[in-house]
Amino acid sequence: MLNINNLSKTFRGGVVAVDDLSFSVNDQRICGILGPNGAGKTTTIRMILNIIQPDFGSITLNNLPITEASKNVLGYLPEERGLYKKSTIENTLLYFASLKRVTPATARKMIEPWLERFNLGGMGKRKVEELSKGNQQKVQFIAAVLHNPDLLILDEPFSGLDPLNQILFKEVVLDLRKQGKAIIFCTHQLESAETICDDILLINKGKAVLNGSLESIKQQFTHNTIRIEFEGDGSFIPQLPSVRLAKLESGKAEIELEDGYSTNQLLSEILPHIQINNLDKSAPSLLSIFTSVVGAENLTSDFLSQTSKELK
Amino acid sequence: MTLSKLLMVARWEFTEKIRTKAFLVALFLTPLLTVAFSIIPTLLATKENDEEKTFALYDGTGLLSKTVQETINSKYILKNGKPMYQLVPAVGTNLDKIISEYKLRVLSQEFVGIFIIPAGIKKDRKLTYYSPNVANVREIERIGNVIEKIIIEDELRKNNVDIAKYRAISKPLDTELIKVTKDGKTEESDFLKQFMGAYASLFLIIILITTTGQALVRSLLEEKNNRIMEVLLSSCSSRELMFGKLLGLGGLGLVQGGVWGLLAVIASSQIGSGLALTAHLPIILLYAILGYLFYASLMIGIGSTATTEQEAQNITGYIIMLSVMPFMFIMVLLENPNGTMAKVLSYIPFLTPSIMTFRISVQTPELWEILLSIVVMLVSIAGVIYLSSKIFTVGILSYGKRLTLAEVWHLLKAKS
Repeated sequence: MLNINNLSKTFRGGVVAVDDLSFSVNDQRICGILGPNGAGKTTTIRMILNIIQPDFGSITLNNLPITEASKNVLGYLPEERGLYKKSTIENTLLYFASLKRVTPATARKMIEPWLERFNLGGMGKRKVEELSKGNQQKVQFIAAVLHNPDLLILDEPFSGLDPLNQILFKEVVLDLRKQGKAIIFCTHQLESAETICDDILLINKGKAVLNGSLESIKQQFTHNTIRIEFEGDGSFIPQLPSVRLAKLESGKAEIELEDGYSTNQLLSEILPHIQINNLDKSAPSLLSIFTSVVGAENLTSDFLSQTSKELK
Repeated sequence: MTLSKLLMVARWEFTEKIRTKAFLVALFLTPLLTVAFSIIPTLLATKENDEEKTFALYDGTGLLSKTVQETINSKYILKNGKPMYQLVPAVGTNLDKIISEYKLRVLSQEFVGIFIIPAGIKKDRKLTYYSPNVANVREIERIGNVIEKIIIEDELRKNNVDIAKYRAISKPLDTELIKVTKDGKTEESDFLKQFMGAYASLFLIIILITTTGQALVRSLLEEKNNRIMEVLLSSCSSRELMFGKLLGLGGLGLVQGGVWGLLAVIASSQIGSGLALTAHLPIILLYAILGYLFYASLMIGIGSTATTEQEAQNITGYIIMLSVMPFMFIMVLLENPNGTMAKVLSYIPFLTPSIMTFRISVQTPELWEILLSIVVMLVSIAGVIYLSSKIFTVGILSYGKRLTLAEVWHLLKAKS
């Protein structure tokens, strides 16, 4: 279990990368760390990995402060992919395992089952450069988990994968959770975060703006949000007395009700004007939660465009 | 810092690199090139030309040209029996006109050049040669010497000196060169052997240091660019990584140096003794290791700030320029291997390994000098490693933008 308390890091030149950040990742939980570029995700990860030192605050893993020795029970898959192209898969995996102080004999026993799990059985002697990009990503993933770490940090593990492999990776990650590992999952893809994460930490400008279990967060924001799909001109919706806030897209609207109004009241107001095809009062999307918490103007435009693209 | 992780990094660097084609090529191509670079220029310089060359000769005295031509023809003969040099008499009434006319003919390549023997040569002792190329010293000297000899003998004859007797008396001395070594042995040697041995060891040591240093920076840049660096750093510390790399590639360099040394021993046993490289192999190898550690730690520190291959090449390029500086001092060192200049240069850490190697090959310096130079190197290496590891720790994590000098300076000042 990972505990982070009051973590702060300021770089030279006064850039505050991480600002009084506290959160924890329990065993058998997947914690999604979300946030725009420059929010402080990489700096936070690097501090957890003991690559850079915090100015202030503490990081403990299984109740022990992070040290060089902690690296042996950490697994890390960085966002950018890269391996030694000229080396064989087996040698590469043995090297990374040896740096985690796993003996070659132990590592060798684990390599083949992992390769088989990723449909790469028997390919250990091949050179990395002979593999497709997706398969290289699998090898890199194996390198991050081969030493059976307690804490696994995955930075955009699904990006660049075809749908079948995305499903495969997701199954593997869920399996690892079942085995009791604490998993940090960094992503821009709010959709995949919603399907896989148990907990959510949203960082913006180095600060935690939202933190808790996905369930509790959703519950907190479910109470008065309605999503509809319709035909016709919905531009009048935001002006209705029962509507506090409405987000319109072509044929879709996410509507937050004014206190004291019910769904029926809203419907009676809009039914005369448009044809309703679908109505949904389930939990709001992470994006709408985020925008309502942070305010759209505070999220950098690049995060919004990335996330909203995935929603469409 | 744990030793086992450091050794893992070292072993990886060593075993992965030793398998590459580039390494094998360098292993055998470099000694070949070294031999080529040290032997071919000498061979070419001493090689006789096999073509007839035509010169024009103006004889202001009107008495010498015939004798000069005859002497030259009998003395310098091509392999095919033909005379090596043709001297065509330049005719005309006015010397200025002759000069301006023959200058043109020389330029049109009718003649290689024109020798002017002025009328007053016996008194003024002055010969003039016109040519677009005044660098073919050998021919100018040969023909000049013949003319000089003819003038001298002519004068002697006028003074009733017996020419045969004069020739016997003025026969030049042949100096035999015997190299005295520390252990009291003497061996026949010559300039060429000595020069080649020293030159080859200098050349090899510089190549060894620079290529290994470059390989180090290249492997660093590869890991930085494909972000393996982040995975490595999530497994070991930056110090373990840096020292592991230094050790692994150093081992590789050692293999390279060992193979080259072996080749040198074999080569010199074929050529015969005298190649200074072999006798001093262990001490030369020691300097190679010290030189490697110095330059490699320098390169890995500065190289870690680079973000592209291009930048890294620029950086290593400047450092390599420093390392080849000893070539500028070769003649000084050959003439006076224990002079003040040589002594001063021996204690500049950038130059110490190569200068000391060269000096040892020419004439072994005193023991205290060798020991002092080793101490200088060890201290410098410790200093460079200390500073480099400070830069390295931050440099390897900076992407996209190279660290500025100000940032590097700040790092160096910071307490680690």
